[in-house]
Amino acid sequence: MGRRDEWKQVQNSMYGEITKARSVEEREKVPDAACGLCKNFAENAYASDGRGLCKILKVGSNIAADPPVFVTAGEVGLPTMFNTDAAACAHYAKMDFIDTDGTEVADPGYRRVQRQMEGKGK
Amino acid sequence: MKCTECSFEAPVAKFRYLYNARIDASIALRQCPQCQAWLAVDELSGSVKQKVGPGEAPWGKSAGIEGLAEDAR
Amino acid sequence: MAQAAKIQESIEDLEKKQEWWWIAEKKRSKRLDYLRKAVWKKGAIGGNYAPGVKVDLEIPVLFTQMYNWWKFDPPMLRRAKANAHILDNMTIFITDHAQLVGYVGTTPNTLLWRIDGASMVNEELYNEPGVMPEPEQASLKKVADLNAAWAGQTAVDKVARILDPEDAVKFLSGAIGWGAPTSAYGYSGKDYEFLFAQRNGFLDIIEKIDEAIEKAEDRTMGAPGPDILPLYERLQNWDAMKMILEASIRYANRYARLARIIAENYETDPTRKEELIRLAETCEHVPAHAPRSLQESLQYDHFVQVLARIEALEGAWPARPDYYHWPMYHKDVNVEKNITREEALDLVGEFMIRAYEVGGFGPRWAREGLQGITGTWVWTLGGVNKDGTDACNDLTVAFLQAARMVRVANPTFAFRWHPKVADDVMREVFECIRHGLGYPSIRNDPVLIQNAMHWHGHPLEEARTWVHQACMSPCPTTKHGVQPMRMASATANCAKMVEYALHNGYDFVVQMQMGPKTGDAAKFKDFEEFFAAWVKQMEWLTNTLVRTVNLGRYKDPEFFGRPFLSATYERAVESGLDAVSPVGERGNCWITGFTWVENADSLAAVKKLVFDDKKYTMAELLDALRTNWEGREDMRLDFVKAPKWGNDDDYVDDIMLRCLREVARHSREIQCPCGNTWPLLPENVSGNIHYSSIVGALPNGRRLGDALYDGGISPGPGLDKKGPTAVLKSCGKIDHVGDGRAFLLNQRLSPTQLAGEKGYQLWKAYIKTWADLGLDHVQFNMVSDETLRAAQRDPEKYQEVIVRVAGYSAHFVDISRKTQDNIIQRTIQGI
Repeated sequence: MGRRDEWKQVQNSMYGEITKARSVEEREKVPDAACGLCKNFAENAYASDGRGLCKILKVGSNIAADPPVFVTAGEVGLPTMFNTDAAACAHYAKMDFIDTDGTEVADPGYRRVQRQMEGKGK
Repeated sequence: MKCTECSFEAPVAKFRYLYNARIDASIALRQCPQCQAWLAVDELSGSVKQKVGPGEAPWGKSAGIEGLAEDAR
Repeated sequence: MAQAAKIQESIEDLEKKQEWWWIAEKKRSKRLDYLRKAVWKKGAIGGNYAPGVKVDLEIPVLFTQMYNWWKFDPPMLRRAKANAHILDNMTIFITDHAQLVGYVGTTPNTLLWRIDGASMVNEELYNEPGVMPEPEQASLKKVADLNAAWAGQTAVDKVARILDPEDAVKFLSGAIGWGAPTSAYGYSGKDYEFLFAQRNGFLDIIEKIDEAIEKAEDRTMGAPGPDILPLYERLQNWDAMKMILEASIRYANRYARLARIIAENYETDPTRKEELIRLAETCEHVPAHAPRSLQESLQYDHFVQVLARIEALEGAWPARPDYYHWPMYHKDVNVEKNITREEALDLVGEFMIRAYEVGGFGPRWAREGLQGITGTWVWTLGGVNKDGTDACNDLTVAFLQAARMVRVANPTFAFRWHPKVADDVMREVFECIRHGLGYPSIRNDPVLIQNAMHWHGHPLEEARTWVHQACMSPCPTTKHGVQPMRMASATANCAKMVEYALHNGYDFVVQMQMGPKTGDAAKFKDFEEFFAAWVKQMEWLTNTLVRTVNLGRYKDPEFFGRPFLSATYERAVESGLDAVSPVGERGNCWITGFTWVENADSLAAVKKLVFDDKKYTMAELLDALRTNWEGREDMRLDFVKAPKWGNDDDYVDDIMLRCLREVARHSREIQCPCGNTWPLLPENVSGNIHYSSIVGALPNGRRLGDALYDGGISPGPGLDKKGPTAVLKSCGKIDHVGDGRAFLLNQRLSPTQLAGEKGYQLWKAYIKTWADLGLDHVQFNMVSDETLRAAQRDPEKYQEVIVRVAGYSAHFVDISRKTQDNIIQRTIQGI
């Protein structure tokens, strides 16, 4: 695969499934084991719409597949959303706490400022 | 290091690093992963100097770190 | 009499305590006091909007309805029809006691949401706490439906699809820059020469458009040939411009009608009734015609600004109000004496409040990078006329006095200093600074006029019209000089240059190979190898960001486009092209250099401790940086103590100059869509805080999480240990014409030292040294640590304390704790 195609694959994963139009119910639901509650989730500081990258899984992974696909080699982390269901992810590790303080500033490792994450600080 | 608020004990690096009081001083603000208290930490000795108390207003978290962070050596 | 004496006594007491905000309240008129207190603050508190501030949902619904209806129209016409539909149907209001009208939302507490800008911003809005109008569930449903309709169809979606995928992914990582490559968000210059100097009302412009259409139709109805083909598209654009100007006149007339309805049916106070009738007459006259009075002049300007902002989320407010409104002020106050100076001050103060009110829903990075404000409304005052004579006038003074009475954080002023400025004007400038406003910033007019000619080839007369395009960058207000759109995505997080040079282009925060692989730093044999890696990373980073803007500009007429802005641009009205088209523009681009000084300080520390003194190996340093200096506090302090910028130390200052000259060289290798240069402009707003957990540990001794320096060429907070003259001397080594487009310098001064006449004389002497050294910019914070700490402890009591953050001012209580502490960390210089 050439350079352009490789990056196209990454770009598609950033714009594809995770940003698809969803219903209010889908948008509001935060599963018990959500990516945003995982230690390995790094929130994107540009698009603070709740998207982020996994620090372990790389592009090509699919935690929604049955069985899930885990790719850990590669140069770009797997794009995912704060409320993506990570119940089937072997690498899910619940954070001790998350920071929901929107009056401070970007902190990819700890902060999750989405309205749906309020009250999930502990 | 031991949290002065909840007695949680772990290596300094386990406490969430927030930011420094001054770049040229060894006082930094860290957060306890257990009770989430903000702590003023002496990075040279790895010990908590005091709790940093956020106020109730969303904008002003009166830290009270003034006087703690003198120029280092 | 006794009461007046009591007030005077109390003012003197407050002056002693330097509680200027209470003085302002006592000194301003009842009208200004009401208007100032009635306004909704739209700037974010840290990154969150204030309680009660809501997103306006009426405007995106109106826009979407009509935009979808006309789906087969060409871009500008389609947008003009949809925007005209907004202007004809949006709810409007008149604030009690107001003499000026116009807002970008349908109620005073709302934020404009441009739904066609970026899907990711729309998604962010859906997830944002606190901004949904009640009932929340119904609003969420409405927003979800709107977002579904626009998913993948916004301006940024379209640019991102055609950008090189590698550029798109790296840009959207959020690590190297911000902004958006579209005119949906950005800094839009206004063609003041066309609107104000040439005195064109919208009906005058429509006449010009009709002439252009007639001329084009002579061609399209004549002998066929390839030369007439582009005219078909331009004719549609002229139709669009005409349509939006007509809708704008109708919009103003709706205010006139509302004012008359209130006056005739509801208002019982005869004085207010008269004011409402005058307001109605004003809106019936402008923007249709050129203004005849100060009130009409200010109202015309405000309408232009609001209409442009309903069309796009503009992040800046380039303006030169004392210059362009002077003719009407002079006529009303001095010649015809239609109004008193006090009445003029009321209008000027309200003009500032109306601008302060304006706010749109911005993405979180913008809120965090511009904490406390909604955009950089930096208005330009002073300077010279086109013939080089002093342009300061009594309206300059009126703006400076009004600012002290209304004490808004936005707009702020930047003052074009030159040697001919009269002492009484300088005293007014100083009074604003002494009152803790943090503005005006001081700009060196002769240096910046030369700079505008050097980098962008603006002719002398045009260069002399310059205004602040955003916080710092000068831009003319002339036909070919005015810049329709500065897209902020050429804003570089420069600290990444040295970070990537250390880590072979790899970013440990976003865990991605970002920059080129410039080699394992542990194997660099000398400083020159390290510096060469830095140069490559600098070139890669600036190239990547500039590519996004160039493509955004080139495609913008198709992907977004600005019918209203075009209709107010002489060159667009003449050519029939969208104002954002690069055709006809001279070019005035710049790369904003956030987090710049960290490069010089980090390079110097590595040179000193790794290559010269050999106290540490590069491998040891890399290990310490990758573990955020954990357990290496002694070593970190050694790196902090290495030579630092701002102390007149050639060891590090020479590295700073080398870095700047490499960028200046590269600035001429890269070109904007107009074929002009891309010079660097180091400054920060509060991006130094936004990026604090995105830039990894650095060799200047900073950890991941620590605030970056406060920007431009300002030394690191607390690291300028040799006094103010040493700071000025370091900064004076830079060639402020040839090394870059402008250089921001923050300084903190002691309010106690600068009290009274002695204080003014000290400050004046400081400014003389600054000017003699050829610096182009300086701005001051003059609020004591005690006041700022008291404000942290008791924010309710200190709501009106203003501080200079970087290229802008903000109320201290509106900035995040980390930003507050960063300001307190800055050295207070005794002069």
